[in-house]
Amino acid sequence: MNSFFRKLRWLAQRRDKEAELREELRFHLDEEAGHRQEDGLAADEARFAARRELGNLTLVEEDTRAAWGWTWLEEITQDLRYGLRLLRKSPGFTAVALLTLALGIGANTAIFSVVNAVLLKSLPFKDPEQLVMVWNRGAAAAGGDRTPLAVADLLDWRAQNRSFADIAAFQLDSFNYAGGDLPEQLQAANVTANFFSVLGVQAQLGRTFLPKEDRPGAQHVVLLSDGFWRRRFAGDTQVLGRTLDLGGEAYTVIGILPARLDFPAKEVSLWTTLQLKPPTRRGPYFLTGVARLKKDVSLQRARVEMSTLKTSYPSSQYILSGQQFNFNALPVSEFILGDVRLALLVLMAAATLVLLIATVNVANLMVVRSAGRVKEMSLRTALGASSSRIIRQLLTESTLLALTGGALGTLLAVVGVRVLLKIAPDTIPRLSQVGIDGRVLGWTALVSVVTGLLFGLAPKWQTTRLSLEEALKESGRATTESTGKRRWHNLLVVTELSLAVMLLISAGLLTKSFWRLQRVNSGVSTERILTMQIPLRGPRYEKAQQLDSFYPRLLERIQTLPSVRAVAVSNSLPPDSNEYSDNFSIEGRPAVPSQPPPIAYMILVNADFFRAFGIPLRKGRFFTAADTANSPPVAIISETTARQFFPNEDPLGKRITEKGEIVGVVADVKYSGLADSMQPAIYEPLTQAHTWDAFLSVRTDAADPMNLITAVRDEIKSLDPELPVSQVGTLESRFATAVAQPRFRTTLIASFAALALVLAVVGTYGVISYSVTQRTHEIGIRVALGAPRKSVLKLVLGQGTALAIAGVLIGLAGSFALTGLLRNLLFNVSATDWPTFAGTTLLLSGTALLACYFPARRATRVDPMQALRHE
Amino acid sequence: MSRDVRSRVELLQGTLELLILRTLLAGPTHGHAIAKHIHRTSEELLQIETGSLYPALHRLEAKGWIGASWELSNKGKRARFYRLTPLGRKQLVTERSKWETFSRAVALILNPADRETE
Repeated sequence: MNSFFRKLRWLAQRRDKEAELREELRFHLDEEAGHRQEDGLAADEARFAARRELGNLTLVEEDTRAAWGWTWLEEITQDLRYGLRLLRKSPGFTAVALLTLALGIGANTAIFSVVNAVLLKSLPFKDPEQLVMVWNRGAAAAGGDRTPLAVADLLDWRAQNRSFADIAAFQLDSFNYAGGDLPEQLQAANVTANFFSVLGVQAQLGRTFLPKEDRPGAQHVVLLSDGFWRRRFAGDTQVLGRTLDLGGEAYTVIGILPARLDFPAKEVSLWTTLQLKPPTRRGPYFLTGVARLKKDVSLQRARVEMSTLKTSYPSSQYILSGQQFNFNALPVSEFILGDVRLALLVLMAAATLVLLIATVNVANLMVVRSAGRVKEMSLRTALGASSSRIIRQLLTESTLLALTGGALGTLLAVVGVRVLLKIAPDTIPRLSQVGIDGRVLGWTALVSVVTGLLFGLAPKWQTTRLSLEEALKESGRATTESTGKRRWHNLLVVTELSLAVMLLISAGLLTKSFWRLQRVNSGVSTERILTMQIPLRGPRYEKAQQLDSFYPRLLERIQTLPSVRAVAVSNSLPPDSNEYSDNFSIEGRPAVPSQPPPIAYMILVNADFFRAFGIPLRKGRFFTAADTANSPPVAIISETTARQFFPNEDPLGKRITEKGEIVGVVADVKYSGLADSMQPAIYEPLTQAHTWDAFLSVRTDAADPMNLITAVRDEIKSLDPELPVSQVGTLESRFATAVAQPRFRTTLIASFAALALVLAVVGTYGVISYSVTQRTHEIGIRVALGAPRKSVLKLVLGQGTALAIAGVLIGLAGSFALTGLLRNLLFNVSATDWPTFAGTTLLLSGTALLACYFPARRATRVDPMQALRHE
Repeated sequence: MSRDVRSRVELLQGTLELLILRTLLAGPTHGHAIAKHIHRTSEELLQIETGSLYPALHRLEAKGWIGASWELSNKGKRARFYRLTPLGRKQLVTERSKWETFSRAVALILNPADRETE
């Protein structure tokens, strides 16, 4: 250790040491000359003798320096210097290699930084792997695999299960908050009192809920998110104990939650308690469960156990007591990350494929370049350089290249991440934590070094197979490519072509899927519609009559605005906002006890809704002004409802229990997402049913519906200055948001595929072009012996075609094996969609052949005389 | 070429270092004087090559057995003077006993007759 520091000090004084050594040796010479002069030699002669006695001065210096013990470092420095000089000497090679590496490593780093933040950082819970989300499994319109729970379900499960330590439940909600300058709508979660103890989350300030605080009649208490607390109260700790006016009721602030907590949704600013009344019937279904597994109980075992439980609480008229639950549970990480995890892993794989192609390309360049250095290497080997020393030098060069590429790649990634965040949809969780941190840089360094080793060893693999003699011979006379080398090049080309095929096919499938998703018929015309949400909360809207007087006045006022064509109020909006679904029965048809009751979306609309959204009438009539609270109740059903429940009869005139007579059938509209299958829907007039969560939609003649915002807001304000308006935007932007995630991943993977295609084509071009150069002599002989130009063209194109075919075939086989992984990301496209496979095959073989064509044409122009002299 | 020199240095290495340490026992001095002293004291049997001397000196210095400083020679010129460090003094004892054991062993093998006659 001691000697290590001494060496380190020496290293720092390196320059001085050199000077000292020179002075020391000069002194030695002077001294020696002086002695000889004393022995009687002339001054000149004495000096010369001293010099001769000393021998090779440089060698003495070098051997002495070696005694300092830093030879290995010097060798590396030498290698680095040599490497840098080589890179500088061939700027074309260096630029292409660095650009290729920077693109590959940059893409990889950028995606990894997203994966790092979204997938690798731990969830903000204690032992998150024990947490599971719990739902019912029900009819598709009720929520399918994620059908909400009823209070009775929760109580039944809590009482009977033995797998969970505890089960909590929540419901998303919103509050109008009038405490600030502007009325504001806040997202909230109504949770059971044990919610935070199940999650294992403590308040950063104050406390979380007490066990009794979710009973009916308990005092209203609220927890604030860190974000809301800082934004609205500037992080003031005095806020504890204060009351907030939420929707007209007073809530006492009891705590602030940690900043990292973004559950059950990141928009949530408030957590309040549910008021769980003892249920009198099974429904309604509105809760999502979150449960903590007992230690040593697997999710699998819990699932099995839960399926044996039976309902005990009073059943509704449709579900009988004693029925088995149909229970569904998912790990909480899967709930939070959903198919984002799959999409990100696919993107990571794609970025890695791009990097592999880039590596193969650089390996190719290295091999080509090293061909010019075979003589140098052989000479050094002949002079006694050890094989390990040569490998060390090659690796130093490639690592230098890779690390420089990696550094450039990191710069690209910094820009790339910024672009990613700009185009990434808000629906990807934890996106705000994306950044280049230590782990990302570590990853980049690792990737760079591995890349460097891979392509750095490429020339060595190839040259060790050549004997020294062969190498010296070959570099002396450029005849034909040696078979070993050609096999190597071919292998590289086939590898990158097949990787490119896999990427292109994946991108093709996702693009086609996205294209289909965008062309899904949503059932409405989306142009020129302004939408917003107006939640009617608080004492002014407590009674149904208050709503009855509010909606007509609102509609009337907005209707009279210039350029407004039609105004709609509804509790649901296409493509994916549905407020509630319920079970129903048709009069005259008794319920079948063993079968689940029919479920449909219950959509409350005003009379003009269908006209505003351009939903065509198929049969009967729309709602009219004559359908009032006092007129006979009516309903309109969608085509799917008619097909499913009235297959061979006319639904008009039939009655839905508690809803009224069916007076019309309208075309289908998507309310549960574009990718979902069409669900049955039943429309009720706003005058005969009530909703407090209304969407206001305005169809206008104006080119940009957003121009209407101020006017609409003013009208709302004149009706109720405290009414907050949220989610303002065009219907088109709502549709765009609905496809934002598929758009994001499709855009990224398509860019990667394009990059891969370019790299693969450039690589193929490089190899074929190099091969033509190597074979100039051979081609010259062929031409001299009378081979027609056409056969030369065929010769080169044949080589390219063989490679392209091999690459495409391997790529197709790989795609068949791997695209199954994409299945869950694909909409209406099979993972082995043959047009995509065929198109990709054509595209890639076409471009690969084009890449071969130019060198091939060059080969046909070979002048035999010149070629034979060319050596 | 360099390999050649190195193998010769290696042959001499242990011995040369011992000789240097022993020479410095008399007091600090510079490289040239060390070589001359060994040359004279060995009745001119040992000729230390400059190409071995300075690497050996610097190696000893790196090991911490000798120290170096710039001083004026008796002719008034700046010279790099080497002196024994305490560590080097200890090392000299070990090296010396090692050498004596070694030379006795070699002597025993080379002159078996002497032993038999004793």
